[in-house]
Amino acid sequence: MTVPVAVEDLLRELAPQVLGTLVRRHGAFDACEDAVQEALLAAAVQWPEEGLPENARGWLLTVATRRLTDQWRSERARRDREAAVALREVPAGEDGPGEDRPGDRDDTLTLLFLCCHPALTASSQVALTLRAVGGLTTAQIARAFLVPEATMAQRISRAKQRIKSAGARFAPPPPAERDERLRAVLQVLYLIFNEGYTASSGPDLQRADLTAEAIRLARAVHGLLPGDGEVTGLLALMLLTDARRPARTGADGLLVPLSEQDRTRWDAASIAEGTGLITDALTWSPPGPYQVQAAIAAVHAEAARPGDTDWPQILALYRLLSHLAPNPMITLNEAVALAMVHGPRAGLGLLKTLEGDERLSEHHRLAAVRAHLLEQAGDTAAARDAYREAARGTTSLPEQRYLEARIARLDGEDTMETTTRTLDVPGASLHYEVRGSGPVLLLICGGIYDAAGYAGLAGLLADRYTVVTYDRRGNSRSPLAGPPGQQDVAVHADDASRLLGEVADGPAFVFGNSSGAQIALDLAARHPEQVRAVVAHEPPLLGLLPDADHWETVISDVERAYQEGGVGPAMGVFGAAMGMAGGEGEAEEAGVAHEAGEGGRPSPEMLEMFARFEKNTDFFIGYEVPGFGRHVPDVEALRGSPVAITVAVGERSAGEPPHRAGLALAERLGKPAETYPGDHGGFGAEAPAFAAGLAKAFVS
Amino acid sequence: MKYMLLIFNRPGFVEELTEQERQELFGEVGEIMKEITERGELVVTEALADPSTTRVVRRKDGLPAVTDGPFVEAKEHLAGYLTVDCDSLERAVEIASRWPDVRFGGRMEVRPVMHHAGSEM
Repeated sequence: MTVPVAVEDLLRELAPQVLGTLVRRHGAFDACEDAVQEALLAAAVQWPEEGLPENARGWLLTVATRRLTDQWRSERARRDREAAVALREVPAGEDGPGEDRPGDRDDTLTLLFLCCHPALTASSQVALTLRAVGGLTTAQIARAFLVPEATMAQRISRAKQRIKSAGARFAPPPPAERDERLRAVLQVLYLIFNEGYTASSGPDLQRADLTAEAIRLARAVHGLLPGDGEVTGLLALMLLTDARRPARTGADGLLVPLSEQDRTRWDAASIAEGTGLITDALTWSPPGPYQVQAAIAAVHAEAARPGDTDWPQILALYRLLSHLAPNPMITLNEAVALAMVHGPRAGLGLLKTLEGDERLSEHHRLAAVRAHLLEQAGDTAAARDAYREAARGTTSLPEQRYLEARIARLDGEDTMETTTRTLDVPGASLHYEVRGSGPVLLLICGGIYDAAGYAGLAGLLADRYTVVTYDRRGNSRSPLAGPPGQQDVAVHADDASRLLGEVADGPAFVFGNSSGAQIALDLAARHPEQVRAVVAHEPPLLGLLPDADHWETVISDVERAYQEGGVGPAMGVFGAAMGMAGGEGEAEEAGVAHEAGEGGRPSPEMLEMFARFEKNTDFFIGYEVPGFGRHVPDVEALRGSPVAITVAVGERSAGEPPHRAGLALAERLGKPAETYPGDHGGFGAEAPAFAAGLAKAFVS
Repeated sequence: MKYMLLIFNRPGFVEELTEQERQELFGEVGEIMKEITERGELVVTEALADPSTTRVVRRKDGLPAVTDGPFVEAKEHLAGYLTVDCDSLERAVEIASRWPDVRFGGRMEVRPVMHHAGSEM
């Protein structure tokens, strides 16, 4: 049956009025409700064929009253009442269309109170409201909730029986109960709205009509109670949420998160109306949960781009909401806002308070938010686990598809292609690797490390940068052209410069650790045109330390030990002098623990890498330590450099020589050192947090 | 929220019951069915024929191959299912707990039914 839209709209507008009148006259809400439903069905068949009656409301009232009479007539036991009803039958002309009937308006509200009676379950409240106030047929409601019509008919009939046996009368609730009953009505309307809104994707598109119905009913209640801030808030919330509907699913039907929605597709008229309503309400009404949620939706709506979102404001509003109506779902949202303002770790901290919370019925939501924040924090492995947990826990197919897509995306980042190339430089041939896309970020390793030791960090940054890593000359896969000789930081900086010349079109971001940090700084001093910003992590500029003389002695001792006994004794002298808890060796192990993954067993590639590191040790102690250990940076050039230079030190390496040297350099540059996670080897052991720190440093 | 209640029991166990036990069993099922129908919770229910009438489809040599159902007596089989639409998991579990097959050594599984509604995260 197809009913013209105009007819259907009129019927649904008149339905609660006719029902209200009928119930006031005859009592017996359940029988009247059935009679009105039959009158509506009759109208839906006849009006499109025969044209609208002159007095549509009177027509419905007459037909409904006849049905009521028929119904009672058929029940022998009600004979007496039948006569009474027949006498009171309303002639069609009694109600003129232009007549003012203030009773109708109150009837709609009274009906809503009745349909949302506390004796009913939520699903019954929803069904009854849609039929008695919304004027939808049982078949329409059944379709919207994807159950057989018989099931829905039973649910509605039982709801009416319960109302009857609860002794509810067709009258406004007593003043003492009114606020609570109104809250129940608003909750039912919001439930109807969400049923429609969340269904507005995939094969359930028809259910989306429920959002329109909920908005229509909320508008009606707002018209009746314009001075109620929460009613206004609910209407505003619905309008502002519904405005996003065109953008919430992609062309492939996949859910699009708020931060990735095409905001030009948001409905500007709905946003304007919703924002106007809530802005006004907040000036005269004490804030309530719907108003605060509407205000949050309005703050989102006013940001033309996700980056423009006023997150501190949203965080403040969620805190207010938590205070007004404490609820774990609100805490989840608060954690997201907190992460946007104070970083993902802060958000994850708040999530911890929800673990084991019995009130959180949908645990997959906690897992989904945790996954999202872990991904932001760069902890890919843990994010993947949490996404999996969420995907398994949800009963929503679109949400499951979305979560599985996120997992696939993380997997894709892991298996991101790495291009391996060679660059010939004077006196050596450099092995280098390129990953990802975006502005060029050069990672310069220190000590015995090579490109493979930075694979973890590089992988984490490859979604935003073209990450370049390389084996420094004389190490691993970058052989020297001739026999090894004493190494000079300037030559290594020249290698880095040539490498950037090969891979970058403009100035690049550069990170260096340990001796790699010395190279990064020298590169910035000599070739500022090639470098946008440098993060130099714990450069062992021993000459800057107050006990520089002691270090000169150490270096001489190392040289002598190497000449006399080779790598073993020389490393012994060096290690004893440095006295580092997280020295190169231990940092490696920490890196392995992070990267080896399940079972903690290193892969064959990793074993090869360690074999290379072992070989590099000879070159490091014999040919690099003297030159790098005595290297003095060009502080003047660095101070006046247009390159943004950040000196970084480890959170857990305080007191160690490279950490102290970093602080000494920072002081000379007149800019405090930044603290990075972990110790001297934090880039490996704390790769995710470290990557997040770098990305942040390079943005600002 | 929709849940599917899967009924597992031992094939043929009803034949071994006394007439009175059988009457009780069917009576209890009838009572539950009446209740969930009247409450508007029942979406659909089906009983499945004896496992010996099963056709099994498997891939063999790259093609689907059909064999007749298991001739070896199965200890347990899926005897039927019902889908209910109710307000909570607790309610669905309550219905399952009252299913008489459980008393006779069978078991019920309550599984949420996936739906197409979803909120953007």
